Amino acid sequence: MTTIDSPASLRSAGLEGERHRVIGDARVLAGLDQGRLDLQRHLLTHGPQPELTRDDYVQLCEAVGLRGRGGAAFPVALKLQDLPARGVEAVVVNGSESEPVSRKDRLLLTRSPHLVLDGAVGLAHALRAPHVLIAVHDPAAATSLREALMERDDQLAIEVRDTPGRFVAGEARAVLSVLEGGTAVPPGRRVLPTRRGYHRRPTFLSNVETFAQLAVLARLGSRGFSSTGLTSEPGTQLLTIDGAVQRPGVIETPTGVPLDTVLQYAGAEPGPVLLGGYHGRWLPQTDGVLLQRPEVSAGIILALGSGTCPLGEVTRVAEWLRSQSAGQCGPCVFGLASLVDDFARLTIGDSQGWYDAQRHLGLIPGRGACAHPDGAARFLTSALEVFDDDVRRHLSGQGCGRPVLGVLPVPGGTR
Amino acid sequence: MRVADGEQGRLMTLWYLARAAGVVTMVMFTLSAVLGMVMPGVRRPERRFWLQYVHRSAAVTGLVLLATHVVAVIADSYVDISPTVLVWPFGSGYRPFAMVIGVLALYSLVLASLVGAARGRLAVSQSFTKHWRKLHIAASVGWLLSIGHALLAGTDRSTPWMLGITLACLGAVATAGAYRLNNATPKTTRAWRTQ
Amino acid sequence: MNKVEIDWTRCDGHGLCAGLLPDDVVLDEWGFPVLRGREITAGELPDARRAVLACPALALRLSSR
Ligand code: HEM
Ligand code: SF4
Ligand code: SF4
Repeated sequence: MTTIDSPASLRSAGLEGERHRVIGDARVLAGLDQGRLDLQRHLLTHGPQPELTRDDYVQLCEAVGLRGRGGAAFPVALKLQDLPARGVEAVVVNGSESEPVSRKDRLLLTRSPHLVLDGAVGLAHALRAPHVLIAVHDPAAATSLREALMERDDQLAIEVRDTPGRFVAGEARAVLSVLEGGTAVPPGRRVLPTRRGYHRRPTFLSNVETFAQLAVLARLGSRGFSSTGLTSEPGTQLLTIDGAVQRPGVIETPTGVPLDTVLQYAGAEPGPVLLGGYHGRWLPQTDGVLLQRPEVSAGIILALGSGTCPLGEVTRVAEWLRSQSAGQCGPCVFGLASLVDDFARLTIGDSQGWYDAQRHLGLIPGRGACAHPDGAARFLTSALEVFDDDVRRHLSGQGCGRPVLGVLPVPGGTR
Repeated sequence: MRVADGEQGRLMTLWYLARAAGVVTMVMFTLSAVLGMVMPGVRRPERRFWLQYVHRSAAVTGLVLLATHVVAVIADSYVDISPTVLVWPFGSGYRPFAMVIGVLALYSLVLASLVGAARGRLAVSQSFTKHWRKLHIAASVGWLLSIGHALLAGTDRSTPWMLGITLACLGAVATAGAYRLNNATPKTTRAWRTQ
Repeated sequence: MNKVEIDWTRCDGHGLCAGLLPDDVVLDEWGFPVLRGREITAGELPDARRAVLACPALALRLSSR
């Protein structure tokens, strides 16, 4: 199952600060040790994209239990089956990668754009969708994609569009709204893109990595794809590791790899670990945790280390989460602002802050147009649970005696 | 005012009815408009609900009176207005410009009422919820046109009491508008929203 | 099979809904509605319709599923 790291399988390329490593066999990151794959090198590494039908894709995705890699981990086969038999308008690649720590989609788009394009174009042909739209935020990723498109002839309308970098702008329906020329905020109704997507027409939308995995799956077939990883969800996954680690960056691993292996591999300091990014959860302990969906969400692992004040770090992130609200929904706007205040008070030893935080954390989930309040509440609730001892120390008025180092990256913050 | 002897007086009843209905229609819609304008400034839910109720009732009463006014004016033989003005108000024999304004006011008010009546049912439609407020402006347009119509068309338009009522209506709405601009907009609307 | 739903991008926290549907909607400390999320019974339907009609922002709707 899991191939533990051996020097032979350790490949690292430190180009332009986009570091990546592989535990086991490289699949979506194959061939990247020598830099970006242009079309020729892409074909040498991966071979051509086979032409498959829609039924083929459904069967393949069902057989390997492929799940979306953007965070929600929705089964791809179900998404495909939810599309109507005809009239699919577009295949949308969500490359906005709005989770501030995540680097994996950027890495794929800048280094292996043809793999992502193969996945999207192959599926668009199978679905008879006339458009492929790729929403990106990173300028280097956009340039790489545009260069790649000049090398190919896909007989389809393919467009690369820029999206704003705000957290909530990466939400699927916010991305659709931008693609249609609107503002990057989620609309008030929760509708499925498979029913009413791009210009209200049926649309298949998923994350960049999902399309790279689809391209690999189309080539390997379900048996080849299942030669590694978990039986329930075979294959590989991309993870981004950051925080108090010696070797931050993107790692490709088999699904279900133990978290401790990855932490060791990246040279993480001992200390608390956040799984799933700023909408994810702090883990009470790391042993025995296997990395799989839905828990890994978009594959972000943050090690906090032991030299920084956890509550101070969490409060900084809370402030950032507040600033990322699209500002449309009352409970999200007022709730997150109150929570920032609660955490700040709690950190300076005001016990009322703790009670207020508990109440506010119960008030915001499910009460917004998107899942931002739910994710923020999940993150903050798990922090109060896991950092229980620190909370007590702060409430006793002593504080934890550690400075706030800014280990958790916050765009526009100290790091 | 016209002096009417016995015989003519009976024939004139419809004409008086039409004019009275017209005046009260204007007052009702003015009441409705004033309430509509102060409503967003009212934060107390019970009070606001009550205001909504009166606002709508005044509008519906106004609509019934408006129908009375129109039917009476057409049925009456004192001035010659044929039912076709309702479809094509241009070139009416009697005060043509006033007729155009009046009919347009009627259209706007009927449209606003239909939209208002459908409000509850269409709440499920996202585009309706987005555009409802814009559609409701038809009511205000209708009100303004009806004031114009009153100033231009009425038999009594130059009598002091009629001019007084019309100007009072204008003044009431202007006051309500000033009130709304002053204290309603910044605090009670979507100031907390960044979008 | 009816439920009240809210379009949070429209709701301004006017609170009229809570007054009209006290058993299904309460207001939080910022004045925004907290929905019970249960089915609206046939007997409550007129009140629910009234609440939908009264919401100034047209943020409330009855969903039938
Ligand atoms: C049968 C017809 C009508 C119905 C059902 C109706 C209904 C409503 C409702 C539900 C509101 C929103 C209440 C709130 O904000 O709490 C409103 C607002 C308003 N109405 Fe009416 N109305 C009608 C006719 C009229 C008429 C004839 C006028 C006169 C000009 C008028 C002027 C207004 C104004 C100015 C507002 C405030 C709009 C805003 O807040 O942007 N309405 N109406
Ligand atoms: S829930 Fe928050 S982030 Fe999401 S749309 Fe509403 S205000 Fe914006
Ligand atoms: S009445 Fe409408 S705007 Fe007011 S709190 Fe209820 S849903 Fe929100």
